[in-house]
Amino acid sequence: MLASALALFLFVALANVVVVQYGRGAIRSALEQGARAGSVGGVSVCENTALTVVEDLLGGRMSDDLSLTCNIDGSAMVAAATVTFESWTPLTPDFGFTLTSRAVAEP
Amino acid sequence: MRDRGHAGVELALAVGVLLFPVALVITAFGPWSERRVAAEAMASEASRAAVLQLDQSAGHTQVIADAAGLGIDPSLVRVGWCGADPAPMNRPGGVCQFTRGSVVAVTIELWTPLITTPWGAVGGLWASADHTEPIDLYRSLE
Repeated sequence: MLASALALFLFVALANVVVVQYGRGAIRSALEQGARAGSVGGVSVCENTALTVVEDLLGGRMSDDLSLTCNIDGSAMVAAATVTFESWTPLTPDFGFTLTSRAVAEP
Repeated sequence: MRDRGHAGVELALAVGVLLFPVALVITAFGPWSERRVAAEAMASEASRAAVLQLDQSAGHTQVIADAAGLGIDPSLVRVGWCGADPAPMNRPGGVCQFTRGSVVAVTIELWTPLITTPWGAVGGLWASADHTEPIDLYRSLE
């Protein structure tokens, strides 16, 4: 019984890691597309594009704790996101990270 | 007749010898796939930056910024420009020609740990991607 419980716990934790990896990839993709669109259209286009991608790839509760911003840094558009994904298992900390993406602005 | 089984031992062996290694392999695929996509994005943005600014160092700056933005240690990145073998970021190989009609090619390699444990990574391999960006035939070079 104990072995079964531990095995189940382990696999829920591993499944959690896989889902977090997916979420991280979705955020990274959103930032890249936002920065690229913003390099032509400006800050608001960057933020709208990134949020649209997040909505498409990561709708629902996973993106509830997401903070996404765009700004111009010299000749580049920089999109940044800070997000925390809840842990599915007790005694395990949440998964929080910050990602940025940069695209050189069109002249 | 005694008919006592060994379910506990068999479950422990199944989990330890079969399921756990398989789970580690499956979870290792995610980071490898992510690094591969990240390498493609880095190569794309680096070559685009170099072409837009007609400056190879601008592309290299883009690679450094992308690696930092993704939380990837610079020592885990190798870069090769215009056909050169990828080399560590502090001494990237290759020189590109910025003339109309030419292309700027970038190869990015990112080190991907096979298994990450709290005590460090075990094994690993280079996830590689390249991208080629043309310089428009009619663009200004000034």
